[in-house]
Amino acid sequence: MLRIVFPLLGVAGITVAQPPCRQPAETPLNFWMLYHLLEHGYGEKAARLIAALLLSDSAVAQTAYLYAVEYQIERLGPWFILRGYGLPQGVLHFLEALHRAQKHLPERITQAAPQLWERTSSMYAWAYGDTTTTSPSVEEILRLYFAFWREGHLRCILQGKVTPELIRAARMITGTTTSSYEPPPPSTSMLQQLPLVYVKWQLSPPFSIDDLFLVWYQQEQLRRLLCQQKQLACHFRLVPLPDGIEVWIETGLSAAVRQRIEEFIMKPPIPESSVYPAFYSWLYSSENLQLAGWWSCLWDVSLPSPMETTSKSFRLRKPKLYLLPTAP
Amino acid sequence: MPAFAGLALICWLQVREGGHPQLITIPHWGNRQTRVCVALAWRHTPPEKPTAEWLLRLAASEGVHLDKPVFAESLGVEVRTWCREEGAALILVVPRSQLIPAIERLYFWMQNLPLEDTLRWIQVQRAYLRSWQGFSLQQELQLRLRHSALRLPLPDLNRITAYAYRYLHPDSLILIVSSALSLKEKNAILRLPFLWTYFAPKGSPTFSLSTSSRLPPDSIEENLWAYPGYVALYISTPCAWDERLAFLQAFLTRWKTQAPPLSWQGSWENACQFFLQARLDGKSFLFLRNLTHLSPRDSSEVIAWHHAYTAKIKHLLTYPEEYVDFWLPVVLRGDSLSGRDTLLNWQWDFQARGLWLYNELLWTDTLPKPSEVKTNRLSQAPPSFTWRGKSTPPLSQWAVALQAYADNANEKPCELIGYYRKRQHQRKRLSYLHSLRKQLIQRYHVLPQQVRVVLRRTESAALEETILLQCYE
Repeated sequence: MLRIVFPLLGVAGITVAQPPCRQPAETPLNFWMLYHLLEHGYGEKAARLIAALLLSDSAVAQTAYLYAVEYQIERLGPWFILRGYGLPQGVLHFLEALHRAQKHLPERITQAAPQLWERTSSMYAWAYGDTTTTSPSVEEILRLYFAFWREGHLRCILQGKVTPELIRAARMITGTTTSSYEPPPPSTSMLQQLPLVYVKWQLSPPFSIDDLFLVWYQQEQLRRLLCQQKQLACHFRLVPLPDGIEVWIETGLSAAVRQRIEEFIMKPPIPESSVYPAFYSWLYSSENLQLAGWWSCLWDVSLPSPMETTSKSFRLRKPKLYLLPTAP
Repeated sequence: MPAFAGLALICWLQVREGGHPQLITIPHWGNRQTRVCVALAWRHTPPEKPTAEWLLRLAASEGVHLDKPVFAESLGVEVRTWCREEGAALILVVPRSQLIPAIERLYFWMQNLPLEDTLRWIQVQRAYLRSWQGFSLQQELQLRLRHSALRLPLPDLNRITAYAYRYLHPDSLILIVSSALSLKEKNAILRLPFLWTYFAPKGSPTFSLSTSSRLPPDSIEENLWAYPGYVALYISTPCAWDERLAFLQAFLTRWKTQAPPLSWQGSWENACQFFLQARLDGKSFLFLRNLTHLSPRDSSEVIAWHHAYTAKIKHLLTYPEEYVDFWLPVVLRGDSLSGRDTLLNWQWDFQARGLWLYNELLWTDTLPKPSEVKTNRLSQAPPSFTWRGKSTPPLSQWAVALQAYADNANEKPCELIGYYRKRQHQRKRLSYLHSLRKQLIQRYHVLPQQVRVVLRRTESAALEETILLQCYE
């Protein structure tokens, strides 16, 4: 009897509990992404140290080496991200090793050398006012580790052929996700000191693929305006948010270009259905695969199927736009 | 008379048409339903490479074809180019459903290169000169290592017209589709017309170097040292395509394990070379200096290399558009692209030539002083917390304190103390305390032996909802 009941309970546990967000990918590889919000945009140094300590755990490092699992640590806006890809078997072993490494992490944090904490701050850290010059204390790092990784703030996205074992491994790391998303806005005064343009498109849920298309089109037009027409050297980064999208453009602006951007913001372009294949193409390009998957997970929309590339009618609504051009 | 005119027209059209690009498909590659990579490629002789680069600039430049952005957008097309000594190609990455219209468009662009419109030609030249106003260390190093001229000489239109006449004949063009095609799709592609529109130039082709004197002076020497800790290398690789990939993966895996971290980018050059640019520190510099032979040291390295190779092959087969410089020369040479799942020989000699910049090594190679290692320790006092109320206590704060307590090598367990007043509440209170202990252990990784539950009887109603966490010296 127990032989029947226990597997059934296991299956029920997987289906009832909140699973990691799954995205199909047209590759035999598995992409994974663990991410969490930074507390009011603060704590990047601590988050980097925690991620570095987890990845330097001998079992994790050995698994990544043996199974050729690629990984990278990144901060994007208010998010902190750990992501990578590998063969299905490798990703499974890697996530399991990461879970085991978590158990020893508090102990390792207390023993970590202070040199590890000296990380250069990113532009995002500056924009959020996280510009502390001193290293965080051990108590602070431990507290943030519990807050980021153990108290239901961590989320996971799995792409590719996702097996139940993989879901189980991901759930062991994330636990039961409880928190709701409330990313803080970056500090306006800090943003204006940086050589960048910050634009945010905001919409209210529920979302549809049409909203995704509309916002993508507008940021694409802005990119074209700045980086192609105005010939500016741009580093253009998209950060999906639960209520919209923000774009960080690292570039200096002349007065004329600034005026042109303000005109753009006042009269944003409305896409036509003939542009839809370009959006579709962007969604499925290998470099945007994870970004599109993440975006659709945050907004809880499903990506279009291959048959939807030609004809589509849209129900578009107007998003709120926020722009913060930089000081010259 | 009309019949004769019709016959003459058919003959003229046939002469103009000349043929059709050869169609090559790679059926065992990526069965992606969403996007597919199409390349219109041709072979040329090595000295023709600069002219081919100009021609591709002309073909791919958005300012040249006014209809290109519109069509690219409506078809979801990405336009890329590839140019090496053995040949050149104009590449489109398109949604699967737009394959035929995209090829039609590709043919149209190649048939209508603006080889006569001088205004457009000047636009392309200006765009090129503007691109050199910014500094590109990567580009300059690559050109220097190839021993080629630092900037493209500006050819006149005659030379490009001659190149188009010689190499862009339908018979010498190859259309490569990196996917399997149905018979219907193949027929549709073969039915697309490719008209031969280029004529032999009237004058003899010449290079014009008149504008090069206006370029800014070469400042590479001083700029090299502004970007320290850098290597640009030409690495000799095996020539079989799958073995090349295995070699590179083995090399990068070895680098990652012996001298992490590795940040690099690279491109496939010629038949048996890889161009690598990487950031250097002390360890990676020594690693590269001492590397003469690449063979696995133990069985785990064989497994790691094999997995790295398999993952890379799978990535390549799914996203061929990311590896155009890798597989296009193989197709142009007429070699097979069927790769092996496993390689038996994992041994190669390592040879590289390149350019080192290593003035950063002096300070990256220094080790931390032992006195600095343990300065920021946790506080020493034994934790003691009191919590009143029905909400959950701040467990993360307690866990931080418990971790600090354990780190100071204290083996005495801490106590989670609760109180009850009435006998019937005893069991409920005890299970609540145990649930807190369970959370501390499971969620916050506190060791089980580090905390124990103590339940005490009290007469005070105020103490009933109090929880204490008490540790002892």
